Amino acid sequence: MENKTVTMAHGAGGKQTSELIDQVFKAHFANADLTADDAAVLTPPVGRMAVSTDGFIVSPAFFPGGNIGKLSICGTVNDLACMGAKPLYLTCAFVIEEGFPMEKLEEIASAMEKTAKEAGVHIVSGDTKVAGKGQVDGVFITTTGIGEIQDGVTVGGELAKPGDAIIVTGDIGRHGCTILLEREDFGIEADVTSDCAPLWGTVKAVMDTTHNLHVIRDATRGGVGTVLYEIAGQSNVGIRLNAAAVPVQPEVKGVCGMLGLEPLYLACEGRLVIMAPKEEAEDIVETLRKCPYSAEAAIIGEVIADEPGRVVMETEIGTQALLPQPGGELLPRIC
Amino acid sequence: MSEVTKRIRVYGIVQGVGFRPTVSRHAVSNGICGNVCNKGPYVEIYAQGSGAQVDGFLKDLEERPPKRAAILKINTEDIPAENAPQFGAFDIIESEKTKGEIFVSPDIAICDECKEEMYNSKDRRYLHPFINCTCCGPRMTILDSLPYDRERTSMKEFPMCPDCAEEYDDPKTRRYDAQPVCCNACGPEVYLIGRGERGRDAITYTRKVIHDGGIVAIKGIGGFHLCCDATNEETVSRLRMLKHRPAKPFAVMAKDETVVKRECIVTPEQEQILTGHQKPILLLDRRSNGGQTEKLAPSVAPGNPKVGVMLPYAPVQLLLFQYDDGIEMPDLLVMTSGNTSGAPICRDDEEAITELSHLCDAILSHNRKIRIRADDTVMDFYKNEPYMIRRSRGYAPLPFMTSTDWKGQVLAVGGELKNTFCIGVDSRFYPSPYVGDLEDLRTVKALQETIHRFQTLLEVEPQVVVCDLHPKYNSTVVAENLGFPVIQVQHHYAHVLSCMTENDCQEPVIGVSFDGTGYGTDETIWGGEILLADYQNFIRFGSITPFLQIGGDASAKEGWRIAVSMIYGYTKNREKAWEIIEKLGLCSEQESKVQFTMADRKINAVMSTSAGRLFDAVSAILGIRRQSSFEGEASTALQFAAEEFEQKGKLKGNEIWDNVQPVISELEERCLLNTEALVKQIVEAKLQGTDSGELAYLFHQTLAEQIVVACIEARKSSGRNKTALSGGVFQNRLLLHLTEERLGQEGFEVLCHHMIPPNDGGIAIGQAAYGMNRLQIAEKEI
Ligand SMILES: [Fe+3]
Ligand SMILES: [Mg+2]
Ligand SMILES: [Zn+2]
Ligand SMILES: [Zn+2]
Repeated sequence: MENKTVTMAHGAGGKQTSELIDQVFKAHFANADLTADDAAVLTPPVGRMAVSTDGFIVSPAFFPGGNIGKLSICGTVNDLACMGAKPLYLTCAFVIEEGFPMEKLEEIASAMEKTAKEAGVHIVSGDTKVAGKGQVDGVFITTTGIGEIQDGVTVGGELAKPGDAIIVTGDIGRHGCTILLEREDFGIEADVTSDCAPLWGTVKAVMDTTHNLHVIRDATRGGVGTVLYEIAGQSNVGIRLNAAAVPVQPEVKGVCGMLGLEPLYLACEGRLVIMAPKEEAEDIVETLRKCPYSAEAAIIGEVIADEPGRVVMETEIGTQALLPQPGGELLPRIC
Repeated sequence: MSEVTKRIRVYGIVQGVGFRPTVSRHAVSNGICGNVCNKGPYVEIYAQGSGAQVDGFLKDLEERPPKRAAILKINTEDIPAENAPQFGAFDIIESEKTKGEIFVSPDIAICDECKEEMYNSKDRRYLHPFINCTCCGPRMTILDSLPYDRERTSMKEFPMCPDCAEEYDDPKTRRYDAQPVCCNACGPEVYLIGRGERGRDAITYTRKVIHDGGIVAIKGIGGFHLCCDATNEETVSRLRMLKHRPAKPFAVMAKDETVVKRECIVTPEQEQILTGHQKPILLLDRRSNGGQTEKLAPSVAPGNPKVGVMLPYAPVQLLLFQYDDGIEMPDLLVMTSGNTSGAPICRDDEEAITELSHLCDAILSHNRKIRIRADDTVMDFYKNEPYMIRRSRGYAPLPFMTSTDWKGQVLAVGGELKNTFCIGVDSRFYPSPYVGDLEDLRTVKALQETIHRFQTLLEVEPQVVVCDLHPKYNSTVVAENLGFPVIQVQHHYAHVLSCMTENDCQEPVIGVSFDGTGYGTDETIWGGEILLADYQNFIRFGSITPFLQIGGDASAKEGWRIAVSMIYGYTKNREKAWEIIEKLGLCSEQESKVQFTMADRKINAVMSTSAGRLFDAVSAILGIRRQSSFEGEASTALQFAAEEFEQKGKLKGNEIWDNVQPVISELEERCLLNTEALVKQIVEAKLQGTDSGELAYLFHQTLAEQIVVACIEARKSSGRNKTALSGGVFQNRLLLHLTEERLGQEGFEVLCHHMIPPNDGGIAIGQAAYGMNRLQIAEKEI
């Protein structure tokens, strides 16, 4: 391809559009189900089906540990996985800013290819639009995924029960921390990479260990803290965390200390929160520790009947801090 | 001789203070017949006799009420002869429950007579750890419901022995009708948790552990204390380590007044409170630094020119100092609240076991249950008058009365830290005992439980619940979950209202609310505010100059963050700012860069006018405290430095920095105290090598001047001449003094706090008054 950057012509639907699709997307996404026609024609999965869609905008689009392409696959695949669904198909729509480097686009597509392959999902249909300079920031991607719900497991945010153990599949807050460091010129030399990863394999391994699971959630925007608050509300239960057990990378802890942020509220892109009866917890953790993205899995707390809707964190010095409700601006509460 | 019959109703603290026996004695001495009955809200008396006899009786009642009674009002009604029953004697009759306004007595420290009896080996209450009489003993803390009678207290589990019953029934004794009366034969018992010792052996064991440098948790009146030898540095340091409390001062209990005077300077006014029947912790000036006679271990209150001291108020506390087991005890004991960080003070064995076991070597408990917690009251003095810091045991829940004709019932849940709540009934306001910091779940639960208890006790069904404006306060959540209509009041306005309510001020004021942080109506953080206030509303007339508060809750603990932000704020230049920051040693280059970027990009950064943070920042700039390990550490250290400088007498008259224009008003719609220029001036002087103590003093003085100039502006625009000083920053007596003095010189009338804390422990009463006033408006509109 001659062009070094994406031009308006690439989105006009003519020759250049075909070229872009053929050379960048098709080259990477090629699989039996990928269509050049108006719609992909697919064999529906057996049993129940899960569908999820997500839009991805991330600044910067490239960051240590991944890029927006990888993120756009992981995000949707993980949403499906959290419903106990094996990801089958994916569609993706690109909105690209005029002038976006072709080389970068290529890199994004390549990351998508690799991640889709790993997740075992086929990209079956796509769309490309080019927006004028300044109308979007680099590239936006929307992916929609279709998954096949595996029988025998019913999970949902409203199913947490008092006595459940709360498991997190790895150290938290890395994605949010990475993006913050990349985006802002803090001058902090911290070795932090995004945890961005496709987690169907992880979920599958857990489901193979036990069917006795109540909640699986991926802790994305808002972090683990926000997910816990959501579940506490949905299931009308309380949540008790053991601060010492929450895995946080020392670098992330350090950055958070400097910025006055709470790692529990930083985004993850490759971490699950799992709630399951206490007696299953050890086995689940053992399984998780053998999986590639959850070697640091840990039991971080339990679901309680007391204090429905609230998350309480027990600290090493014995305080039982009520975590502030997520949302809204970060306001100091200390007088 | 014509006979008259009067029905007399006495309102106030008339239960549990030996009221009926006193009435009975006055009746007998005046030769009248009739009866007296506790009705709950009041004591009702029928007095029958000649006109002169009844008058004499009434006079005695008014002039010589029982020691601990507080009569608020006496209603007298003549009963026509034809309706009057014929009385043959004067009787005390059983309590009856009647609806109406109720007064709960606070707990009362052991009286001298009881103390004497306790140490009299011939007395049957010799060394009895629960000795009490009508003049002393637990009240609110053992109360289930009213009227105050033994079966409605936690003493109901201890039936009186025949001897006690006799005293209880005999109007001639000090224990006539004293509800918690008991003795060695029938009273509660002390014991060690997890060990066999009870009674005497338990006390001796406790004394031995303390003597040997151990730590013991001891159940008292309103909860557990952690207790150890305050003269043993090693032990005190160990307690600090165990409690994760590196520097926050510990309260001390002294054996007697002489010991207090050996360690501290005690004014006559302070002495009265020290030895009085409430026995709060008094913040007293130490005699001198390192004086020969002083015995307090340095770790008790490190770097603090003051120390919090109280005298024993529960009999068991006296026994710690003096007993007949031959153990030589220290005459100063650390007596700090028995709790783990964040939690309320423990009040039963279960709590003590889970929360205190790891902090101490033994737990001395007893089997008289505590119904309502009461932490020790903490009191400072200002101009020879009490200046409340924490109002709890001995004071709560005495009401404050206003001269309004307000009608209704409100509940105000208070703020987030140092929480107390307040129940308002008509024009009376009952502040609760201290609850604590609501960041901790256990304290939130304690708040909910205590609210419930007080609602039952005072028989109140609030028409409205009042809370703070802060969306993320747990107190706001508690308020919303109570199921009554909720109204929110801005934090610093509530502070001003609390000062007005305490002083029963009904005129509009210029409120000076200098405080930590609170949520403003513009969704930024407020804290150094000049508010034109009345019970209806307020106008934000002025504030200190806004700065960026960066780093959320971390910025409240680390003053260097505020200092860096302020310096960057006025230099508006990274290089210049870093040059200054480096010279002042505020933080690393890396840290400063992070702060600058956060400021530029408004990450975790919010506009703030917090006066508390301003003090923290100046403390950091002057190299006094870079950060605080407990609330107020940096700002009090700044105050101490200023006071030390002032005492050295190096001041050259009334020196105000001329080049700091005190107030500017063009920039905002409101008047701004030029605190930015003040900080800049301090930074420059510090860099030129001026002494930190001098600058600390000049900071106080100039800030006071700025407040005064802002008040003058406020007076010009509002015509008001009354100012009300409130907010946690006014715990700083130097600022208070400088401000009050200058306001006085400018002809202002100045209201200060006395018995309600200026800090967040006081805002509930302000919220309650606001709610009550709103009810009146709503009433009128209907
Ligand atoms: Fe406050
Ligand atoms: Mg989605
Ligand atoms: Zn007594
Ligand atoms: Zn007895």
